[in-house]
Amino acid sequence: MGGREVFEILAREHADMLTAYLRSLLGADSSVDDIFQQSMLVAWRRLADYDRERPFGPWLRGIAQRLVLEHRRRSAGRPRVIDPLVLVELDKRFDALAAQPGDTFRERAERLTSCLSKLPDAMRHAIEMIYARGLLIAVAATALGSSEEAVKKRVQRARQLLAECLLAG
Amino acid sequence: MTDHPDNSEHSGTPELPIEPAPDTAPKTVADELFSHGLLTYLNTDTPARQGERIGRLMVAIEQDRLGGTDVSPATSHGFRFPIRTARGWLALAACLTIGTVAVFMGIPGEQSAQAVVQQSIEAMRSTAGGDRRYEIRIQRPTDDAIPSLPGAIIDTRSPNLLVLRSNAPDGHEIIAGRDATGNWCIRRDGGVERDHPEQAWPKWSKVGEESMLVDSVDRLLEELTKSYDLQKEGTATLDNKSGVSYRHIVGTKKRVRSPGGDHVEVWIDPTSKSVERLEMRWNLPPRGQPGGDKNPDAADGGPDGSPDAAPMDGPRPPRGPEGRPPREQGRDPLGPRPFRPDGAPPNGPRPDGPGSNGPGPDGIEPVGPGPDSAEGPGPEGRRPRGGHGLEGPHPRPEPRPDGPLPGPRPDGPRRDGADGPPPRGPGGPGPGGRLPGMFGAPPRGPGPGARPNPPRMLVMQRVDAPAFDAAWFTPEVHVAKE
Repeated sequence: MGGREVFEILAREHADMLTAYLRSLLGADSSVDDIFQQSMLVAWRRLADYDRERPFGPWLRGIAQRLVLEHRRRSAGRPRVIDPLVLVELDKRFDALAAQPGDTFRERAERLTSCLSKLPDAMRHAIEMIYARGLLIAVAATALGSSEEAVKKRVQRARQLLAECLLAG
Repeated sequence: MTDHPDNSEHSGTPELPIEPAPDTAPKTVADELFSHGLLTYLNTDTPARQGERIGRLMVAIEQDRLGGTDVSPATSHGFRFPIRTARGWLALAACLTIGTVAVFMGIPGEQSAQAVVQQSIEAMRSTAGGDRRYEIRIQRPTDDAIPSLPGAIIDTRSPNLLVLRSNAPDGHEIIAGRDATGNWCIRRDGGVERDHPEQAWPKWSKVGEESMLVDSVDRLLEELTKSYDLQKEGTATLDNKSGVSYRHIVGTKKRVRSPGGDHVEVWIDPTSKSVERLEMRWNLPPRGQPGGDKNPDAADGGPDGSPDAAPMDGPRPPRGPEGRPPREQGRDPLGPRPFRPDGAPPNGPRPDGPGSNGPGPDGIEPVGPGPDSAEGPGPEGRRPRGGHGLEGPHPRPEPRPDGPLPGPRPDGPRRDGADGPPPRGPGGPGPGGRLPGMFGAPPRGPGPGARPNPPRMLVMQRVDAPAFDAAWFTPEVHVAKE
């Protein structure tokens, strides 16, 4: 099997993880597609540098992280660098998810759905409005009969609880 | 992860729709970012979308593998520069050799472009071509830019189904298409016309009384391979599709009097092989110069009717560093009308009223011969003979008291020849000329004045569309709209 075929297998295996990681780092930025492709291309070009004794995912995330930071430096009006401690912690969470039972990243990530069902109704509704239905905060607040600030706090707390639930196994 | 950025100037977290709670520990922020990433991924990045990403990636890798010189990283940093330098010189020598051979041996440069276009034709004719929607925009000679709203929508399903929707100046919607039975159009009285559907097609679709566009995209491409010197321009991106590198083909018309614009550019999706965008430009004098800012309805012959046509100097759209066309604004596929693959009637007039770029609601009306064309008014005093359709399809079965329409067809004889030769009026097909109309080949007009003004530019852009219901391509679905 040639290098291209090997890389295609690796790329397919880690595409979902990379996408979710980029969504974590890029927030509402629309550059996910571009940085996804750039990350994979850099990984392809530097495949000889990859230590095959170690997992591919963290190595790929390292590449993606540098590209994201470079992208953010070039983008006006953004914080220039993300807190590195946050990056370390985020990386740990993706590693922890990879260690969870499941055949694919998507399968593991979809366990978030069951975690979502365990949230209090107010938090779950807020998450569904913002993420599943893509509503603006103001619209979601109106729909939920709450203030925008209350919706924000629910979403923030819900995200923390979801991460804890998912990684608790 | 081993590499972390310099933390001397860290100041924040990514911008989420809702920022992580302020003044929280990095672990808590990471929890929020982690959940946000997973939630967005699960709600946005379907397996199909991921498949598309991988497909584009593998195409890019293949291009990189074939064309790149630094695909494989140097394993020894000490030798990286000399090795790459040597590779560079070798690559340069190879290019010079190939170029020299090409020049002296006459290797046609367009061969690869022809192959790419041929692949696209085959893909679009196969059932795998799938459902596609294209928006058509016309820049008239007096327009400064391509209009933001489309002048027409073409829905097509491989291999041979098509629906065109456009607006006539009087506000009624032109609907024509092709289903398994053949070509059709919706008459103004709401009936289905299958005998003379060509009447319905807007003038611009014929590009100067010549049929070229709007037949089907694959046949348009086929025409390009015959009538244009095509060159491959490598890959290019389009502003509206981030991350996709399209195969970019450019072409110059071989014969001045063949149909279509003087220059053409095509962007082909490397994965699906389907046309993503097509631009045609006509050699028109710039605005403000003689002939460059005239009434677009004046049919004194387009520059493409003259062997010494002016060089292409029409306003090209602003381009980015990669030669990408301008980002399309206001791309509402149907304007204010909802897209109704189920054929439900929209009811009521088009709420957006006339288009912003011309007298017609879709801004395309002046492309064909206008009412005051040198071809002279038609039998109704408003439509030149041989000109079709901006007023919409005419009910053919009824005898027309004002002209010869029921007799010899202005668009030429029927396929069975029962109508005899077509009329020889100005603008009609010349002797021995092939018939106008969307499915025929270019006619040879009798001389100056027979050709209407071409537009400056025509843009056909693929846009996202839902899967069409099978009935969408049949006229019955659209009858109620009239």
